[in-house]
Amino acid sequence: METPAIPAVSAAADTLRRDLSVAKNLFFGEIVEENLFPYPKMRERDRDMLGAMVDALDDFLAPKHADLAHYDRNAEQPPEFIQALRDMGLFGLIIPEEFGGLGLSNAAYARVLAQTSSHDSSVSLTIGAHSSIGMKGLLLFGSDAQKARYLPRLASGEIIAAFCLTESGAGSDAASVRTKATRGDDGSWLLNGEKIWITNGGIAGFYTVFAKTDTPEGKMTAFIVEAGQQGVSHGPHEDKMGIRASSTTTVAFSDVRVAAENVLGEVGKGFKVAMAILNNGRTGLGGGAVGGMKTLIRLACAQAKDRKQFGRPIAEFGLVREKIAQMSIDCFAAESAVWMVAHYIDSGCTDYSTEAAISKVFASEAVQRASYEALQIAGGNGFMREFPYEQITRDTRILSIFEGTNEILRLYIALSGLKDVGANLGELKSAVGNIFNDPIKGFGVLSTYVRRKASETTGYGTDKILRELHPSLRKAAATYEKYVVELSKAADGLLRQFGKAIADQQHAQKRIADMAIDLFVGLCVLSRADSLVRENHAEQHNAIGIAEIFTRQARRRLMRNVRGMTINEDKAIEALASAVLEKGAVGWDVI
Amino acid sequence: MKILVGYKRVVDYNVRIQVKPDGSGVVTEGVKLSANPFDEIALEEALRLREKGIATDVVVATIGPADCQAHLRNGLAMGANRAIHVVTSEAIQPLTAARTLLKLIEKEQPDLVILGKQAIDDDCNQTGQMLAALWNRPQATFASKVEISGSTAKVTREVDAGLETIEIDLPAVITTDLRLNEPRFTKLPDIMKAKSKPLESIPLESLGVESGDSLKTTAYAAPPKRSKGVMVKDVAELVALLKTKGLV
Ligand SMILES: Cc1cc2nc3c(=O)[nH]c(=O)nc-3n(C[C@H](O)[C@H](O)[C@H](O)COP(=O)(O)OP(=O)(O)OC[C@H]3O[C@@H](n4cnc5c(N)ncnc54)[C@H](O)[C@@H]3O)c2cc1C
Ligand SMILES: Cc1cc2nc3c(=O)[nH]c(=O)nc-3n(C[C@H](O)[C@H](O)[C@H](O)COP(=O)(O)OP(=O)(O)OC[C@H]3O[C@@H](n4cnc5c(N)ncnc54)[C@H](O)[C@@H]3O)c2cc1C
Repeated sequence: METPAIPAVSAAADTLRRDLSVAKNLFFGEIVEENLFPYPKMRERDRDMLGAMVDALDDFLAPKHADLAHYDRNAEQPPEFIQALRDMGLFGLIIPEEFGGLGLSNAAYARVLAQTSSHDSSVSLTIGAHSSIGMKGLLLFGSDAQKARYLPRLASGEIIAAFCLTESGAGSDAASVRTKATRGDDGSWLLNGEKIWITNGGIAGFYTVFAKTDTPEGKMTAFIVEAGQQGVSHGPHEDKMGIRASSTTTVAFSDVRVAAENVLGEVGKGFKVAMAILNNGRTGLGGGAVGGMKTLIRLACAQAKDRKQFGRPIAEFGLVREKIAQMSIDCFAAESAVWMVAHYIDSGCTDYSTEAAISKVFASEAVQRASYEALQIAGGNGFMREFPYEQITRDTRILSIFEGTNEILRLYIALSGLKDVGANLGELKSAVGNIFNDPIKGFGVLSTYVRRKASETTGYGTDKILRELHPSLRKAAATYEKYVVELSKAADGLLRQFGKAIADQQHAQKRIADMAIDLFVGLCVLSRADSLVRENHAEQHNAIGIAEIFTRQARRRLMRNVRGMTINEDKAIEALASAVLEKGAVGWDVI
Repeated sequence: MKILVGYKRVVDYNVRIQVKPDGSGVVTEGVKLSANPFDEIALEEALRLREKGIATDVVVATIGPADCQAHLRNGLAMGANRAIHVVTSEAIQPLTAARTLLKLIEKEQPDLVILGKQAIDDDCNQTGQMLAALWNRPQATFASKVEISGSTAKVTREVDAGLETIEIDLPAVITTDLRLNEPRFTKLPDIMKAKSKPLESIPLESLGVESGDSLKTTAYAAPPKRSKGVMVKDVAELVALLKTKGLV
């Protein structure tokens, strides 16, 4: 994937190894310290502006809370509100200045989405689907002519963008799309098919469409299609559980003529284009999740301090305090991981898809836990629609479903790590390579693997993170140093045990993925805490506390997952699932 | 026409003010700081006059510590053409502020100066009046409507008895009341554009302003907490209660 390298200014970037994936190296028992420490800083240009932008967004959205709740109940953002989003400049966030946008870095963009999400998720979705996925392909792969033609109008929001991949028969299995494009003699294409659940489908003027193309170059191609073209239509707004005000519709293409110059990227490389867009866009979703968590924490604190039961504010009770603390840990951890990934993207790292998947899985689940707990703290009020908890709970539910379900992403995390290990094992090179249509990289590095194997056995118990750390953080670091070796042993063991069949071992993959998630997120937490200590930041003591607690919790999960590699109930679970599935229901009753 | 706008930074009006434990001031660290709401109204009025084609140049000025730059950028993002930052780490009182603004007037030669009627931190309500006197020009305070025609301004003032409309010759000082206008939202692209607008920094010492500070603050204290009220059944009970408390 060719991502233009944005010149990095932070100190962390100087030693950054742009070709290395931290997460994939965990599977080799390695901690790529250069890519984790020190914790990256927001680019100066963006930091200066973000303070003012955050205030401006608060001023803009805070007075509209009642309207926003109304849009949710009515399942639509009215045109005048979309216009207000345009006027605010919210469609030009990541478009370069020369095309009329704000040219924000990925990190700053994610921070803006965090702020909009702290008010309302549907707002984030309208602007996020436009920037994160709708027009991201044009930014990453567009020709100069395509950019000049569309970016200025996309920046102003004159045309809003949508990403059209999913179909009724192609959800998680995105490569199986049936929408078809056939090339005519004049080189133009005829497009036919229907997409479903397209965010901004009803308000977009610009569609990035993925279609099957039976060409020598490859099976799928991305196209730019304009809403006004002959044969393009969309269905009504879907009646959804959450993010109800955001437009979700079907988009149909009936004999739509697409000019050759509207192919996005190379003919036949559509799947790569789609995956590159989704990987690059994940920080938007993660940023939104973090913004949501900060609102939930604020609401929960106010509620807990205000509400008295048993003669005391419920904030004094351990079970309430535990929830507040856990939400804060999750929030810090998600934030640390999301902005680490944003930094990789902004610095021109080439292999960050595994880290991006980890940050998406962790952040989406963290905000879902937080919405559950904040609602619980509010008790009966939490269940009432006049309070914001129920809407936030509905709105955040989607985050583990779209832009890759968390199941699919867990498999991806496991397999992308295992694939490199497998590639290095030589004889297993084809075992997992083709699962995600991603060619195996890293042949001929068997010697590296052998060297790594050696360091894995001798490296046990020695410091892998060389920088000097605060004593509490040093202790936490030892956990990651230990379990990264356990992960590499587990990966190695699984590949030797299952060979090619590892692709079918989802229970094992989930354990592996969860280990990788705990390790990567934990290392991000450690790095961020270390940087706050070095800065003598006012929050440094909380950060140390969070790093300690997160690490202990992660260690218990890691221990369980390591043990689960050999001792587990997988077979019994499979058998039970088969039985229940066969019947299609459970057979027992108390009558 | 050039308009000079006073644009002071204060603790945001949404923040619950806390007094420092030693009583030496209020807590400003880690607290949201914003433009004085009356000054935002002043800037909004100036921008509207520019949009009507009456003014051409809107200059925001603040007197404050080095980190006020971001605050002035907000004024530029809202739409001011230029900003002047008079840098001082000391908190100053109205007469010193008025003398400082007079120096800026001498330098800038504005046709109109618009200030907030007061700042929500010290609530002095003096600077505009003092400035007009020092400058020896007319003043129209507590404005709720401003109409400019030629070299005069017709200003509606909010006074205790209601509304009063006066006409003054320009140049003059106008101070704003709450109902004059509703300040606009800052848009994100304007925040970016503000980065390249001119912002001039002048050390207060270099202006040769004689300090007019004559008040010494001895201590800050939070207002006493209101004690909880009691509900009474009827007037008779109320009177009885007031009597027992010796209040009637
Ligand atoms: C509100 C909303 C907005 C959306 N916006 C867009 C958009 O803008 N553009 C777009 O293209 N799409 C969009 N989508 C579609 C979204 O990306 C898909 O819903 C998502 O990819 C999942 O596909 P699916 O719903 O068909 O579920 P399925 O793929 O049918 O999955 C159903 C379940 O099976 C699991 N599963 C599937 N395959 C496997 C496997 N191999 N192993 C284990 N488990 C598996 C999944 O994890 C899931 O739990 C949107 C969806 C929604 C609900
Ligand atoms: C849909 C609905 C139907 C209902 N129907 C009925 C009904 O038919 N009849 C009826 O009488 N009531 C009814 N209720 C009320 C319901 O029983 C209460 O909402 C419930 O008892 C919780 O009380 P609360 O909402 O005041 O929450 P609170 O008591 O304020 O609790 C808030 C949070 O604090 C926690 N908490 C409180 N005290 C402690 C403590 N000491 N230690 C640790 N944690 C603590 C709680 O677990 C909760 O998480 C209904 C409520 C709803 C939402």
